[in-house]
Amino acid sequence: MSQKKFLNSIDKIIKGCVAGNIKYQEMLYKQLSGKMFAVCLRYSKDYTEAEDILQEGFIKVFEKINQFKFKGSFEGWVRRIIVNTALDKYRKQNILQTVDDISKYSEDFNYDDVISKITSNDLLKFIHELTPKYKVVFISYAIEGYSHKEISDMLGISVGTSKSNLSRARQILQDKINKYYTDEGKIKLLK
Amino acid sequence: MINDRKNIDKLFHDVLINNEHEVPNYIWNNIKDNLLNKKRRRNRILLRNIAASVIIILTFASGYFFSDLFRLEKHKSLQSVIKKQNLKVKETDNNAKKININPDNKANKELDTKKQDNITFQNNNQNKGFLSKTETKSLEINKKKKEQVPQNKLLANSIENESFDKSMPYNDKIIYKKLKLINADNIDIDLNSEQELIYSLEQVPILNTDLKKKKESRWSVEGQFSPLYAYRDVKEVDAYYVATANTSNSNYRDNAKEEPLSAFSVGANVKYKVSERLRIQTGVYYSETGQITKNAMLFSESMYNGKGNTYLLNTSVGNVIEANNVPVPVNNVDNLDFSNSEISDIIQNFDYLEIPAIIKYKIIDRKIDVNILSGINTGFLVGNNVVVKNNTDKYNMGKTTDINTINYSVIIGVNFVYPLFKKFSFSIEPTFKYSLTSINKFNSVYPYSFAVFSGISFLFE
Repeated sequence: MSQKKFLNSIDKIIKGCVAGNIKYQEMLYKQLSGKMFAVCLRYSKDYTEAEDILQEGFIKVFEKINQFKFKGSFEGWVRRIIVNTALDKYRKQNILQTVDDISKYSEDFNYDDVISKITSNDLLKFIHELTPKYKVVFISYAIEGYSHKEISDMLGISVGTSKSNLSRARQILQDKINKYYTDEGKIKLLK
Repeated sequence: MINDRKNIDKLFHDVLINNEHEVPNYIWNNIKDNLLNKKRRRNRILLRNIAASVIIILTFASGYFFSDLFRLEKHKSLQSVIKKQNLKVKETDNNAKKININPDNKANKELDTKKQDNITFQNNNQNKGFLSKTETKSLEINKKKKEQVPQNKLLANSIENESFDKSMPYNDKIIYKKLKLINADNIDIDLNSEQELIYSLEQVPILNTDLKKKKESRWSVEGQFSPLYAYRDVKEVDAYYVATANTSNSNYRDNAKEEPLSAFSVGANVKYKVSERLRIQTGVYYSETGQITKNAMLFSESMYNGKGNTYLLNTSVGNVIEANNVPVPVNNVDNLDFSNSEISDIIQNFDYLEIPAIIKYKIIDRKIDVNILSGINTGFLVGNNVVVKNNTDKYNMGKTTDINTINYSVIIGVNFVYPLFKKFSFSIEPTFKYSLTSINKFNSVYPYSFAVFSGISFLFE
């Protein structure tokens, strides 16, 4: 499908969704749910929570779709709602996750993965090994492209905290990737 | 080795930003069910609003109906007076029916000698038609007489002196006397304008109390208090909360049960009398509503921390969060010693500052007036706290999350007013209030309350 045809098609689907037509809602869901589920999986602590976020997020999308002004990317608009839903859940639950011992996660690192090249699953695994507060800031900044100001507003933390969490997250991820590329790993890869 | 930290951002972004993942089919089914339920709920809300509008319309329609019924009774009385007093009805050239009560003006003289100095029957817009036809623009009371006789006594004496049919009710006698007053100038009364005549009869001030009413202020203030029976109507609870409530190992939470709360409402209102029967009213009230969760198992933070899963206390109106923003551990936690848990009642209080806009319509105008009332209430959330109460202790726990700060509700009720003194009256007012908006931002939970207000009102000069 050409880009123009796709845009016409998505406009039609959006209008159908605004009218509350369940068929168009299903079409929209099928177009975007795969990408959005990947977003949910990045933010959530497990698969079940990602499913919850996707479900809640899409319900909000359909409830608020009449607020979309057809300016800018619709996918970006949906993605923002999904991210906000994930962050909302994070805000509600992060107080339960009191574990803050980074070394524990480093110990869990599976060196068997080194034998293959980095995949999206590997990177996702690294991300999930971060503590929630580092993970959520890193995903929001590095992958979703939010500024520190936006992150501080969304999470109710200061800009300084956001920056320091990002810095710490980068450091941990760098260590993990460096370990991934140890000589041993490269040799195995070459074989 | 990757040394540039910015490259880490780029690596993760480039690899993951367009990543897709297969989604289980049942998620769409859940979303679809949720959307359809919300559609049904919107329809229900629409129907409820229509029902509220119908109630308000019926309230006023019934008021009008009763008002019409009273007029019909007066019409019958008028006809009865004409018949029983053998009043002569004559037809004019243009077929208009007219009576003359005082052909010899004797009765008029009798009354004239005893009337108070300051009594004036004012013309007004509604009786203008009748009065213009009868060429009676106002009933000037003879000011020359200095003798002050109470009007109710005057009426009583006057009625005693009159020869009435024995079966004639007292009210009919009053109507006859009023007819005489209107006919004081010995002018024919137009019976074709019966409605206007009846209205004019209502306006004729014979009794002292009637006279006073003409001078009364239209404004009154009232203080009211009521115990409240407050609860909520659960239409739909957000999927998140349902899912959490159904989490495994929640058998201990299942012991918990929500019950209505006995609370109160207190405030003051100001009323404006638009007409004899219609009043509009607003005011400021402080109302406490809420609910009780019975037999919840509570653990101290030190007991549950790090020992297993913990869950928020999910209630139909929202999650409970402790004052220090820590979730309340009410569920069972593996490895906990349950003998150390506290069985407690959790009381969720919501305090509102309420501003009602109410219309009252008097349907019965007797010794005890009966009004029907209906209106809209705007409640501003001013207090949200959760109190824990067990056999030995009572303390503040925290608050309920996601509670809407403004709540709109519809009020219907009946108002009974009994006059105590000249300016004071006592009222009893059973009311029912049902919220039009959900108490929680995410759940569809509608608070309602029954109240029986009692109050003392003061009528301004």
